[in-house]
Amino acid sequence: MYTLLFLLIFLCVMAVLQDRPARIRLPLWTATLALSVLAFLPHVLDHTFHIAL
Amino acid sequence: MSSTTLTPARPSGSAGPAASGAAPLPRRLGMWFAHAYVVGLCGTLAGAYFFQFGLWEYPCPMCLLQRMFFLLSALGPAWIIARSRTGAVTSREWAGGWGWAVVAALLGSTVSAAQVLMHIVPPDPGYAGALFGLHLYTWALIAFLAAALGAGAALFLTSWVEPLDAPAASPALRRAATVTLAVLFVFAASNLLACLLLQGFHWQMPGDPTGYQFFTDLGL
Repeated sequence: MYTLLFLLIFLCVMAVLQDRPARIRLPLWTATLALSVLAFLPHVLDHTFHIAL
Repeated sequence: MSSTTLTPARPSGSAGPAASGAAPLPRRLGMWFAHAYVVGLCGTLAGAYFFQFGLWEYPCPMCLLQRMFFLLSALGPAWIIARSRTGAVTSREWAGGWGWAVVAALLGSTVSAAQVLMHIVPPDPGYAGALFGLHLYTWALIAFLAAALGAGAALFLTSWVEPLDAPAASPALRRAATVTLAVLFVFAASNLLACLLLQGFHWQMPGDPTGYQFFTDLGL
């Protein structure tokens, strides 16, 4: 899961380097940020609410 | 209201770089700060690499999440730098880039703060080694908050650095853009590789990794 997130971040960096238009860059950036936050939620549930997924 | 009252305040000597020969200091400083921001965040990742590859301390899943948010926060200023190579940066691009950096840094600080709180009750020794008495996730929290403050300052000082055309008049800034973006590329690629080695071909990874799963999977 984390490898896939790093792959998405790598694609975000490539979108910057290749000067991709906003219609490609912004959805990619936003999806990556949202998925990174989602990846954090299991830790919150586990350590704060003791709900292990 | 007349249109002249809507014109944003300009710093003194705000004629274009072609007219003045070189952009005034505030305009160059604004762009140099974007470079310092990206390189600074990559520097924190370099420190994490020292612990991982120099001291053989494996990063936990939350450590990896913090690395992600460092890279994500650097994306905003990197975008500003990339745009500056093709001409003047618009105020919209400047504000969008720094706004993104603030959001990503604050989300990263949330992850760091959660990890600090996980280990705050004595006699918990904390995760992995410490640097000057503080664990890496504590340093990450400090770095994220400093990054959010810096990016926020860059936002509210926008009128001070406008017009954003300093790179057009500064060969040094254009050269630095290539170097800074290359540094970010190297850290994005190396983090991807390091995570693949750590996690191997598994969806989950242990909370306290003890080796590189990739090599274990291959029977090495």
